[in-house]
Amino acid sequence: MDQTDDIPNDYYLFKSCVADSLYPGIELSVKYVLDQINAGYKEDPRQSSCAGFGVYSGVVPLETNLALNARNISLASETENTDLVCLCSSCYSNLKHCQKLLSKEKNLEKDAKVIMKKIGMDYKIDLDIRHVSDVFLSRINDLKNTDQMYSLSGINVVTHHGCHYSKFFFKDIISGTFERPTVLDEILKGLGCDVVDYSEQFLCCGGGLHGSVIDCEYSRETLLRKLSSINEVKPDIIITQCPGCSFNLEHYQEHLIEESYMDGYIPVLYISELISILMGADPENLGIDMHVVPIEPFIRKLKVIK
Amino acid sequence: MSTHQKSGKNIPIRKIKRFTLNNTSKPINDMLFKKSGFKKCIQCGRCTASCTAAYLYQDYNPRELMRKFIFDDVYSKEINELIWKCGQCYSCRARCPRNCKAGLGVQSLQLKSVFNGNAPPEIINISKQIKLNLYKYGITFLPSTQRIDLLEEFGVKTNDQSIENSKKRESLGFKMDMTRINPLPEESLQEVRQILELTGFVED
Ligand code: SF4
Ligand code: SF4
Repeated sequence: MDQTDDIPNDYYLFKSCVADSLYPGIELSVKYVLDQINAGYKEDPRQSSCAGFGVYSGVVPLETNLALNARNISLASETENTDLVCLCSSCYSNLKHCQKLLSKEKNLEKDAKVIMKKIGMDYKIDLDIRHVSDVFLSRINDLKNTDQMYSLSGINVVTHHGCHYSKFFFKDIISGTFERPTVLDEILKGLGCDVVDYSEQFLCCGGGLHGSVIDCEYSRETLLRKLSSINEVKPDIIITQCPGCSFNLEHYQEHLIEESYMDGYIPVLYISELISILMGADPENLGIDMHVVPIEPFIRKLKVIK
Repeated sequence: MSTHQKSGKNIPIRKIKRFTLNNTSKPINDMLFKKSGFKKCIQCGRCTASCTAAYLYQDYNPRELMRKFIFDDVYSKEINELIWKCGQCYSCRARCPRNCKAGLGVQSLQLKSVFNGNAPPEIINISKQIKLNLYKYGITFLPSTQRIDLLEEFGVKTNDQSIENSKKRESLGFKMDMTRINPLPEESLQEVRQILELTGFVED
């Protein structure tokens, strides 16, 4: 289903604490790409974390989550921006879930309104919440029309869409279905590369809360399935839309290579990191060189256009 | 007792308890728990077939958890341990024909487990850390929130590749152990702290 037409041109850029802590290059490259296509965006230091990392680790109570995000979404609604744009799929899912619960459950809304009044803020939560990859797909013609330094021709890509993007609010996926979201695929095809399917496309990135909280077994075993299936189709690169997915997909490769489940390293880039490289950004200036799987071998494969 | 004809013999079938929560002694009123939609569950097992955790752990089974939700059988030590195997991927939600969300029910039980002090020590620990991070900075996840001993889990080469990253952070204008370049203004921090206090998410 194509729902890309109604995404406007100015965005409230919602900061992701996981992205900024693990990969500052994600936010920097998103802003670089938006600048290149003359998209307006606002950064707001008043915004707190959405607390999604704690919510999906089972530790942040619903009341706290709802009040923090009633505040965050109200801050975004105060501005002239009509869309709140997330960089992390867990922000996306958590903010949308808060918005939905607050709009549907009068008791929850009442409590959140009382809290907002106590902290001296107006409550207004009706703007649209989107993921930045939705924005890129809706602006694919603008992306194509920028001057590009590299071409993606001959490059094979696999994509991984975050579970928290595609499995909870699956009706809002702007291209494809929850079984096979194609938002990243359509952006990449638009930019001229070949997107390859693999058998474990639906499977999670191995994040869960186990990856960073309890133990690594869930991540290790899930990534064994995920990455060996990706390895079968021999892509040049894995493209994500979530900092957490990027982290897991690259950090578990070393052991899988040692144990011969993978033939070699496969670089992992967040969608805006790739697009900004194509547009000629210096990876070092944008912090895209902070990946533990080096990206130079991939960049060397790209054909220079100019 | 009803019977079932097979190979000429009468095999007794136990009466199945109806799937309704009426008359249960300890109903759970939590909103997330209700939103799991357990009352609509038809025990088809699609969630289990799709579940990342069920593939991995023999004893983890969202269909069975939903059955236990239906019968209000959620207070055992066994459940308190099982809930921490869920990876919160919501594959169960995406594929459920009845629009149920087993993962949400699990999240609600996780929260109760933390609240009652019954969660694993690592979880209690991360809960404390997040309370502190949110209270001090309005931020959930700091660069140091990623556990260092996990880096060993990833391997020497991977570890070595990330050694320079703190310096690289600084060259981009970020502080080594602060998430954002521009912190929350004092007034915003006060608002966040008030929210945490009003909703009880602060360290005692
Ligand atoms: S898929 Fe849905 S209806 Fe089927 S057992 Fe799981 S929760 Fe119940
Ligand atoms: S959210 Fe939990 S129960 Fe649902 S599929 Fe994922 S791991 Fe399984």
